[in-house]
Amino acid sequence: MKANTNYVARLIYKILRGQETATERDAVEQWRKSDQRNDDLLESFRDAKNIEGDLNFFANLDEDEAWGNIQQTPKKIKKNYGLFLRVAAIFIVLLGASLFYLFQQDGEVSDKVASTTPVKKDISPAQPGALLVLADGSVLPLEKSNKTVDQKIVALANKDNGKNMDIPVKEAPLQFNTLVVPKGNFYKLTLEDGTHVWINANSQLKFPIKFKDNERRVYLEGEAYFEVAHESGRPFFVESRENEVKVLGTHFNINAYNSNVRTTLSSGSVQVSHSGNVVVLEPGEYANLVGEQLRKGKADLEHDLSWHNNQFYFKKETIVEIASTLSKWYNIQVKFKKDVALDKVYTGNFKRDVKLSEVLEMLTYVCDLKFEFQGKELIVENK
Amino acid sequence: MGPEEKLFRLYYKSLCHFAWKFVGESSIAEDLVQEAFITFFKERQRMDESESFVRNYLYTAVRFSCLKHIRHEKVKEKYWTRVKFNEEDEHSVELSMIHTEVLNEVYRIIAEMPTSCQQIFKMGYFEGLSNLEITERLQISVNTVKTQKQRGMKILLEKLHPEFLPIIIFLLK
Repeated sequence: MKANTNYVARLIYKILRGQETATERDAVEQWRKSDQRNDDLLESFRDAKNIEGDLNFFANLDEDEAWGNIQQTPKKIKKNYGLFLRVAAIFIVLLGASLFYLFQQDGEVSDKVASTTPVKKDISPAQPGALLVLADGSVLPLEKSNKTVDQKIVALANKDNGKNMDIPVKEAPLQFNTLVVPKGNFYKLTLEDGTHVWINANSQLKFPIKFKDNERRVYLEGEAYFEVAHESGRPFFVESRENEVKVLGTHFNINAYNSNVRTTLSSGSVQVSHSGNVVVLEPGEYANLVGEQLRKGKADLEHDLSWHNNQFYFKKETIVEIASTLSKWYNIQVKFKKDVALDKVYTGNFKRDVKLSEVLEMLTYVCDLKFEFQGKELIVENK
Repeated sequence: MGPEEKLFRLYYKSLCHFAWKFVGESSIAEDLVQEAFITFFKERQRMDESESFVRNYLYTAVRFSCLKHIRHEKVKEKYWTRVKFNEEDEHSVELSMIHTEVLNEVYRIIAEMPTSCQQIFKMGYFEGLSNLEITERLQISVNTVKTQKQRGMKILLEKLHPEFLPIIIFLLK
């Protein structure tokens, strides 16, 4: 969109200088004609009186006073809008989805749900929390504060090390902890080398109590975002199924929820490999392992890292895909009634730390769908 | 000035203008924008703080609260049938963001012009007065008017973000 606007602006500039080609002139005319609002925008600038009004509006705003208001407690400001601001959402309904989406699951549900009630109870967004499965098989629930817990894990790891002190270090086999993040939870973990890992709902990370001297290696199921502490002599590896990512120090995301493994690099450099095939990623690129094929391409960072930025970001996704994301985050089951269009796609984003009802309210605006609860199941049907 | 205040001052006026175009009342626009900043500052530690993310976040938050506000003003039906969410409306939102930011930038630059230059520039370009009318009002020579207008335009063109330049040249013609 932005690119398009810039392009048009450049063309207009050329036209003013008489440097445009006939094709370019046509392009601008087409842009103007393509949408009444493009024309309106230009006209609105052109009308000097409008600009005067706009400039006066700016002149009358008191920035200092506003800044003062913000410094005070939020109570001082009219509360009416506070609630609504918690969800910032744009949903664009894109028509004309194309793929015929085969979805047979729970076809019979349509007959059973006659007596459902509208959404009344609400479901909170995912909370920080995880289960730490220690090397000896004991399970430690981790809650809340993702800051203090790092210490705990380090402490635990140390304690375990202490136990094994009598075994000569050389012979000690690598011992692993596994962090299990269930549906409805997320977790941030700091490993012993200082690497930060954000682990999304319904995911697992297996990591050794202490890394080897020559490499650092962890195993991921689900999705996580890594900020790897730089150590040039000791590369960091993330394995997900058959996919291996090798890094020195960098920031990247791995999504291995589905059968694909998608690695998205936000900074630094990584090397992704699968049974001998190797691709090297530049920042802003992704590598996707589909079956036996490893491909790379230009990533939409805002989309791939949206969860790390605490947002849902759906891009031409069907209600089935959206429901799958929501079910992990809110720990719910979703079922569809027969007549729901499963191939229609939606694009949009909104904040992730809101109650489910707010998300559903948003969806209701833009889809022709209705959401009802039956126990822990969310039933989706046409309005 | 702390980073929060800096950020606030960078976007406050643009966001108010953007909201004002939706809700039509500047006090409501200001309330909505201030509320958006409060929420943003409260939650920012969990966010990526890249410039484009922050900008999009703030505009999206303000836009959404405007829609909510409008809905609560009992004009829901009318508005929602008029403003359907579709791809083209994303387009028009993008355009109004551009509109707002161009104007805010123009405003800032004009506000920084020397007083005499500023006065003549506004009269000439925005109030649509002819050079002669300006000389009569201000009791100054035509040459002064011309010089000051040129000076103002030069300042504007120099300081305006290059991305906006073509638009403004086009519009001020």
